[in-house]
Amino acid sequence: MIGNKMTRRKFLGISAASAAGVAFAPALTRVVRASEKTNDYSILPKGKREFIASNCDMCVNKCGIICEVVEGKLHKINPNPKNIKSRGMLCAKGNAGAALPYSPDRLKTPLLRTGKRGEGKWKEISWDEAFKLVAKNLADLKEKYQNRSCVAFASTEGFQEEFYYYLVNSFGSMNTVRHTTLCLSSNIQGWSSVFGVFPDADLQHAEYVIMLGSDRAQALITPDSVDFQRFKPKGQKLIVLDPRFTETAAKADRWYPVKPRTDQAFVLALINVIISENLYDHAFVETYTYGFEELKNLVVEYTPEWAQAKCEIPADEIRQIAREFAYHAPRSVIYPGRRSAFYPNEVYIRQTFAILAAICGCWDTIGAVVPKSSVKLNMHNVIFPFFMLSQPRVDKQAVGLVKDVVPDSVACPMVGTGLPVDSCAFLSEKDGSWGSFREAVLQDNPYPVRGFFCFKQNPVQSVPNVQKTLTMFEKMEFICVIEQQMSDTAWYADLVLPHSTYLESWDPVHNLGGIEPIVEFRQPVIKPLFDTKTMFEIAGGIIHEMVKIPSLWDDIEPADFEAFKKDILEGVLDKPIVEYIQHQVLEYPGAFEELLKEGFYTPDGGKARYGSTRNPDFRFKTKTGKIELFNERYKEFGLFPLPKYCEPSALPGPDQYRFLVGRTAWNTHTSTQNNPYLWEIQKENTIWINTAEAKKLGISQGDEVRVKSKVSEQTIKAYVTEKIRPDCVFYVNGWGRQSPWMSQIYKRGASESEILEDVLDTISGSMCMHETFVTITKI
Amino acid sequence: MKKNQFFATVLVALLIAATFGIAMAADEFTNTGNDNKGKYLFRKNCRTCHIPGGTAPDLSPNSKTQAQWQRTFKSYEKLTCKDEWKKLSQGDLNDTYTYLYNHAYDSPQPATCE
Repeated sequence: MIGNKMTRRKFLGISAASAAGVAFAPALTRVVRASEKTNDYSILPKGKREFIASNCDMCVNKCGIICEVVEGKLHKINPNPKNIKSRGMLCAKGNAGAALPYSPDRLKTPLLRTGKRGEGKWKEISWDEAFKLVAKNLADLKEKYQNRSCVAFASTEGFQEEFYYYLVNSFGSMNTVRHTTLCLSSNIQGWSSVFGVFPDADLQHAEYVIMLGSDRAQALITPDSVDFQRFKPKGQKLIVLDPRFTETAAKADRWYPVKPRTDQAFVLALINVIISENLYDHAFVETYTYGFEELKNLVVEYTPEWAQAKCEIPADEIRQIAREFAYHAPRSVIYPGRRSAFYPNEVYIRQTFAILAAICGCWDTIGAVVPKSSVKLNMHNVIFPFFMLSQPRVDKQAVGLVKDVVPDSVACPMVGTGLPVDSCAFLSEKDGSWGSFREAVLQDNPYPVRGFFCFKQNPVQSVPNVQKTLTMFEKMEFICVIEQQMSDTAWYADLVLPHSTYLESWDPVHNLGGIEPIVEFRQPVIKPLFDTKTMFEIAGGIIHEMVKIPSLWDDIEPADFEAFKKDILEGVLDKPIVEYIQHQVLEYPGAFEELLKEGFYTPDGGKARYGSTRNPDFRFKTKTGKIELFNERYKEFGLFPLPKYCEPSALPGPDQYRFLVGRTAWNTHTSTQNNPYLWEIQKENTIWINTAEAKKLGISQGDEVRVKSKVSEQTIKAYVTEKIRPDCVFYVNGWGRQSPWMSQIYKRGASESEILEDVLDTISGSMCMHETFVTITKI
Repeated sequence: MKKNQFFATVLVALLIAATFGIAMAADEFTNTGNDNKGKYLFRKNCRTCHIPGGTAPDLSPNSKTQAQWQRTFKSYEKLTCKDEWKKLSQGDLNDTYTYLYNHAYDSPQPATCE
């Protein structure tokens, strides 16, 4: 930021605002107005004014918004004060959504590549031509390889994703790959190994909170980012462990710059103290848990003194935190967080967190971690055909894959650490694993994958070791990307289909599970500005062309083909999407009208739901039906059933730094940096280097440095700071872009996917993004 | 239909019935069938009635534990819809079982039909 010549005043303003979320709105308004001025809009346009409720799509949170539309043009986006999930907050990104439809970099019509891939030569084609082209390529690939799974489909979360899956299931590929193994799959796996589900944290009522590696003030998640600050109870204590002094650390009562990869040692020591000092919840453990004696035996050696040597947090402070956590239980939270794609043993780390919550009875009650509740929606009971030529996922079938994905330095010592070394133990059938999937495709193991579709994901920027991704693309005979702007992945496509923005279209109703469950949808705020379509329309258009090609249907029963046309096309995709939405909320009279008016619906006024599992007869989704402190399924799979501590398999060398990744509050992964309002806040990324280390390396503030890992190198400006441990460096994702059509950010800053090595957590299939070691040199 | 054609058809039907009966009696359902086909078969054959608001209770793979699905398949003849089960081949039943068992309530990947 210093490199961006940001003034101290502006910096402090943004820092404080990002931490407070809603407080940011006035600051941004100035930016919005300034931009509007440059575009020759009046500050307060006159004409017919409308206020339309909908929900944001600038990140995963889907916060409630009220859009101010003047004479059909979106003037401003305001927070929806009634939305219970976003707590009436709208962040910088949400405000900046107002610029999205009007961006000059938007894709406006389908584009067909005419030059070489990545050369940037395109011709405009009609949607009819595009749909025919997609259907023909699908038919050709299916005929050539006699396997529908030879085409892979990548996507990420979003309301329209379910229609992408209409396309996937109509073609019959089993190879789908989602964002989850770049984000929280190890977190879900670790917590679920104990409780059977991945819970939320009741930060609004917790009296004591430990956050490890989650920067909730910057990596915004609603309602947590609001709750832990604005709604925290008086006297709530916040303990933060992070190698960086983050905005969240700035809000903490105590911050520990923990040695990376040793958080588990700290939590094991907390468990040791709580058990040895008899501070655990005896009744809860007796009634609800399984395997306490085994746990007790395991943690005997994990004393605070032992942990201090690992994580560099003083033993007496570990003791104090353990006692405080137990004292405030059950209103104590060890925060599950979100992204956990950090280390190879991440599942065991998260299992340890969950066990701490369990033994203190911090479960499913006010102020604790609580299982998500949901609102039951009326589903469209459609049946997709069974295609004889659909082979199982590549990453499920491939044998001996992991040893090739995981570098030797990591793989060899992993033997005996409770981690699989042959294949991923738990691979979600829908999410897959980016690491093992890409490796299987590169090796044609066990069969060739030659077609690639991508919706809303940007693997060129988001999947570690980009050279492998580009090599994978070289194997593809057809690449189709559905996007709003020419992302780096779209840049390498053969066909690019322009998707409408969330402000121009209807989106189906989605359940946002949580302690206070809510359903949301989207309605058009403005008319579509260009010749773009939604995934609902794109899926329908492609499938209509597919049914005209007989060879695409020769491996299903004829009756199933007729049923498919009737149920999927005529029954869903040919009808207005509004009918689909109305059907979803059919069970709740008045719900559709409520959605139109407020943008969200809650059947019971959004009351928090506690205690549904606090019944001795309740069966948890675990092997034993109990909360498992000792995991029976892991035992069955040959994994450690208990969260045994294993020493890191690799450490930075004498001249190396551990490379850390993270986010700012004003950008979402790789998707928002080209937004003109957000670009005003940050125009490129900078690398955090500890002051003492920078001095050793002769690096001053703003100097250009070379960051080099095993797989690549990048050039970036230095941000010399005391806010990071000397053995780590850090920069945010989303920069160093390859697509010239991202006009404001092309080649600005450094790319994360270029630097990161692809190391795999072999229990959940997650990437390990804190296992790359780099050298830094001044240029 | 000619007489010999009729007898041939009856013979084939009897052979299929006998094979089917023997196989079913063996109760040999394993979770090594085709999971993907099982999903399709379950939706096509079972979810016609076992849906929200349907004529039978709503059923998804995670409606039962793995042990409960084992018991259901072992003693399906006690079910009111047993005649519908008998229309399915052993292979189709095993694929359905595979899908349900692999996505049961206490499986590594519990699944709903949503």
